[in-house]
Amino acid sequence: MRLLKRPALMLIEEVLGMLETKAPRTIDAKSLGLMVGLEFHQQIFSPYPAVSDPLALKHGSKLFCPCPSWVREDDPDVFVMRQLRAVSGETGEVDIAARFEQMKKTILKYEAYSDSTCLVELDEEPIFPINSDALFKALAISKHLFNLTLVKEIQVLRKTIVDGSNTSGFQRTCEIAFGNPNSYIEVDGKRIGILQTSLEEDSAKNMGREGNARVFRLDRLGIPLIEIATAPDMDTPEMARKVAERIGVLLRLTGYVKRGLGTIRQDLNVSIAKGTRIEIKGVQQLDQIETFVRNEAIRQSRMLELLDYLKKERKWSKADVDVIEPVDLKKIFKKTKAKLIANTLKKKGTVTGAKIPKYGGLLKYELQPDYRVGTEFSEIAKVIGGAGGILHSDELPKFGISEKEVEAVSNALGVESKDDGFVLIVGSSQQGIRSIQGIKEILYLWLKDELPREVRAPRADGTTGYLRPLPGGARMYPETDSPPILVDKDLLARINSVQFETPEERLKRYVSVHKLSQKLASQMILHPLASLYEELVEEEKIDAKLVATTLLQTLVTLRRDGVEVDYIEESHLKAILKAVQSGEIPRDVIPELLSTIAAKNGSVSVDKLIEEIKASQMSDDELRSIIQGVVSERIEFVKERGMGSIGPLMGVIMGKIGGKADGKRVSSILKEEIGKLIE
Amino acid sequence: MTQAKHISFGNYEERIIKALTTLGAFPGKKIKVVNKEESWELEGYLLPKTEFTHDNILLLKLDNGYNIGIEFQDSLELSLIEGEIGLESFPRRLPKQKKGLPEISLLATGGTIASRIDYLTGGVVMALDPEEVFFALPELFEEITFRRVENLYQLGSEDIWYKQWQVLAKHAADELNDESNGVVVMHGTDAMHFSSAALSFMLGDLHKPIVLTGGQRSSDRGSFDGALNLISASRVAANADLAEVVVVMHARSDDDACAIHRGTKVRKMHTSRRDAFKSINTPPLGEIDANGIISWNPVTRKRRKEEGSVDPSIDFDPRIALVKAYPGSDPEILDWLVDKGKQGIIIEGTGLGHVPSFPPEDEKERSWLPAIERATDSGVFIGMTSQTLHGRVHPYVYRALRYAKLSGAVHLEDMLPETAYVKLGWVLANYSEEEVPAMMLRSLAGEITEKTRFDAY
Repeated sequence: MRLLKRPALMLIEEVLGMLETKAPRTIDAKSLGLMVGLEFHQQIFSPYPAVSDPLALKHGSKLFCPCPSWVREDDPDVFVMRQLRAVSGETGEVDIAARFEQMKKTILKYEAYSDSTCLVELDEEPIFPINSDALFKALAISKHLFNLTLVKEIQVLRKTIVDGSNTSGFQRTCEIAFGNPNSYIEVDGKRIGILQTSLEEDSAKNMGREGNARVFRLDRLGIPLIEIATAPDMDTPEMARKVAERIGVLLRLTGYVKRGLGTIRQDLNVSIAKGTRIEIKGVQQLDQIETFVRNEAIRQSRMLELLDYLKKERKWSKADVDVIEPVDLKKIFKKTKAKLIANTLKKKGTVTGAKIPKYGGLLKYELQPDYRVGTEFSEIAKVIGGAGGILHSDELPKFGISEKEVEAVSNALGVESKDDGFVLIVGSSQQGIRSIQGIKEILYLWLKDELPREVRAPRADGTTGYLRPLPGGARMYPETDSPPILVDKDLLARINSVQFETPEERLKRYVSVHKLSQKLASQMILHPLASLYEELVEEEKIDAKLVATTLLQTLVTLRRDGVEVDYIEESHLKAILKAVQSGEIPRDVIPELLSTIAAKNGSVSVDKLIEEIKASQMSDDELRSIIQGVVSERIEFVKERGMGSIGPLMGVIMGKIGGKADGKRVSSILKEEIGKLIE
Repeated sequence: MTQAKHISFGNYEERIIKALTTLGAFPGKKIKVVNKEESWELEGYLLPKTEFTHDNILLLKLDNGYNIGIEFQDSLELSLIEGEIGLESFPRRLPKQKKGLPEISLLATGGTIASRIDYLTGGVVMALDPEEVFFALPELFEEITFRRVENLYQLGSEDIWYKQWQVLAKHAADELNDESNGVVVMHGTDAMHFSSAALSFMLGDLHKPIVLTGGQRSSDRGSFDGALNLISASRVAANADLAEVVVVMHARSDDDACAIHRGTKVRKMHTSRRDAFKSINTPPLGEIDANGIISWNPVTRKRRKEEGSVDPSIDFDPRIALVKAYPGSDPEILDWLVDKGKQGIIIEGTGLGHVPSFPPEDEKERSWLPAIERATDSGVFIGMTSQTLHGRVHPYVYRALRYAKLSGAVHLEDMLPETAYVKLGWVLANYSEEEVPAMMLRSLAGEITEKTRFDAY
């Protein structure tokens, strides 16, 4: 018997009429009325006052305890299981975002380290007094970089966050400075207003899911962060990136901040004229900002178009959402050939489905490039239902699911019209029910006249996925374990005495004092390791050019050659460059040394490697005899060219000795030998 | 919401209050502040001044939710603008109660579990109605009905003593006699083990459970541990096959189970952790997991359904004291207590039950033995416990102990010092002077174990 063609499988163009399935890849920011504001988060380096723990001195301390701000790669040894509950907000009602999280009823697993975290991170002890060095640095940054007005008495507040990223259920934060008419930075001649800075605790690291549980690691929880909020003064994606880069450079030049991947994080507030304010949370790479902003502008305009079509053309209404109910479809798939489903059923899982009225054909409508309505539902199912994702009517039959099974599902769910679609969740019945309830909640929000305010999570491909509703503003209340902090005369005097170099001043210094080329100098200022350069040149007195070329050229060349340079730590670079500077090892061995370190994933004693190279260095006598050999082989050439033969001969000799002597030493002996000959 | 004018100014200085009142700006009202000298302006809701806020500071809650303090100067231009917030009002109703569920009663006495932050001022308020706690626990009402919820006190646990214990014991007995399945007592945690011991002795032979519980984290936070504690305590009171006074608190730092501790063998052993309460010298009676499943260690006293009455003996002699002996401790403290009219003193001795006994010849006055002898000679009961808490005191192992014994001190086996102190007040009031030593050595509410278990430490 031939199966009837299922209506929802009809060509999308037939179903959608004028609606274009594909999302555009570019935008006209001006005509969309794009507005972008940034919340720039940067970890601050601040050992707790009088702390003696060498780890805290190395990594800095946390904001409310002396623990080291050490984000680790090794395995934790403390494990605690917790559950957070929605709590009454300031108005006595449970905050909407908080209640939403509770709907997810998630178990939280926290991982910690007995030697670098304490009861404060585990929410088992009241906090220590605020890290006064971190506060000082954040205040100095606020005043000198952004011209903000400092708060006279700072109040630490608890900001309710129950997604599990804080063991307490709140984040401690305080506003330390606010904007005045002179608070702005200039980028490409445009003034970008700075609204405020706050000092807050970093959240715990999300380690993913383990079944029903969310796993977080506490090494990052509590690291001091300065948050810089800009006005929504950026009107193109490019401008948003440039502003972030400028703020990043300004902060790095202070030397007050932690450096490396994961020490900065941006939240982007994006809206278009007819859209709404959407927060994209936790963008780590500055060069991705442009893509996220563009895709969010696309998403908002596509959402508007989609919802307009649904409401006008398909008469989509509350009644269509009311009827969305989870249905167990286990029976249909008893003998399925779809592996995913068969395996799930074997493990006592099930297939839960729901009809989504009026969404037939629209589930493959793109909201962002390669990101469909179906993808959005999938993200909702993941974050709310803890499901792996969804399957939907616009993509089936596929994945081994037969046409017959699709037909049976349609019948069981009551999908009658081509305008109706359905979703399937493969997993536990709990995951299925929660996912469908989640999708239903969101669809109610889509019914409203305005786009819902959301927090969205960045995805690797530059799109964003649903995360949670944007929490209301009024959910902050005083941290009773911290007294208010007065910014008194002494502290103000200390802050006022600080002087930061501007990028322009530093450029000048690098060119005139360090004798770097204009090109090297301007690259160095923008480099993520700019403060390492500063430390090595200014404090360790290592040759500026040596440091700059190693950081800017050697590392880049190595990366291009496939060396995993991420394993190379600042301490490695420091030790190697110091050894080169003191003449203990030749500079030619730098690339080889760094490759060795990277090949061993950084777990290697750099001192030992340096010792080995030192041991393999030729004595002056050995070196001299090789040089004499080379010179005597080319005696005519030397006599003819005199000192002009040094250059060509150096190449020959260095090739022969293969890194076993420093070029300087070779050249001085060579000079002597040639001198003897031509005298 | 209450009207903003009811919010007090708190600790603001006279001249600030005057300036604000003139403006009509009361805490909760929105004001605009312009500082022309420094060319900035702010809008925010005026907050009451808290006790730790510095002089001359005006507290504002900004629209972004942050609170900040600005310096009050006469040159500031203040104006009242539209907008107002009020003190939060909390739902003061019990969630809907279902019929046909096990019925229990709840007595509240105060403490962290019954306190919350005032979101506006940031102060901790001890005045949480039990109803407000319940509002956060809707799932509890799927399985249990509260026949009575009574807010007896709003006291910190260290402020609760024998008169409150007597009231608590009477109320608890009334509830049990009134066919409640069990009673939950919400209590501050610091001295909860004193109250649990007191109720154990006063209520005697129970036929249903009395469950004390509390919280180590405040109820404003998502990580409020009192939620699981209260749910577990309610389940024990409603269903557990148990007839004792127990303390139900987190078993570990995890939110996956609570331990059920005998009221006379439990002690707060940590200042801040969720699992601060530990059974000492005995394993806990059992553990109840987050789903309500109980795993029992052998329990001696089980719930009895038929016989239904509790007759509390609430008499208590407050003329008691608990003192700690340590190197250099002055034995005159005993003399002073005896002279003050104390009828019984529990000493927290060192190790197996030592007090300073044989100091060097020229420092003889440091020996406690004469003071103990003087006390017992004058009819004051002296009981010996150990500050090691774990283990049993022993009167014969060392010479000093034998002398302490000869001086009349009674070594109280493996009883906790705090339990011994509470028990002494109760025994003194309920037995004759001659009976006291024997009663102190007889286990009345599981406070003394017959032998010391290896796995209890």
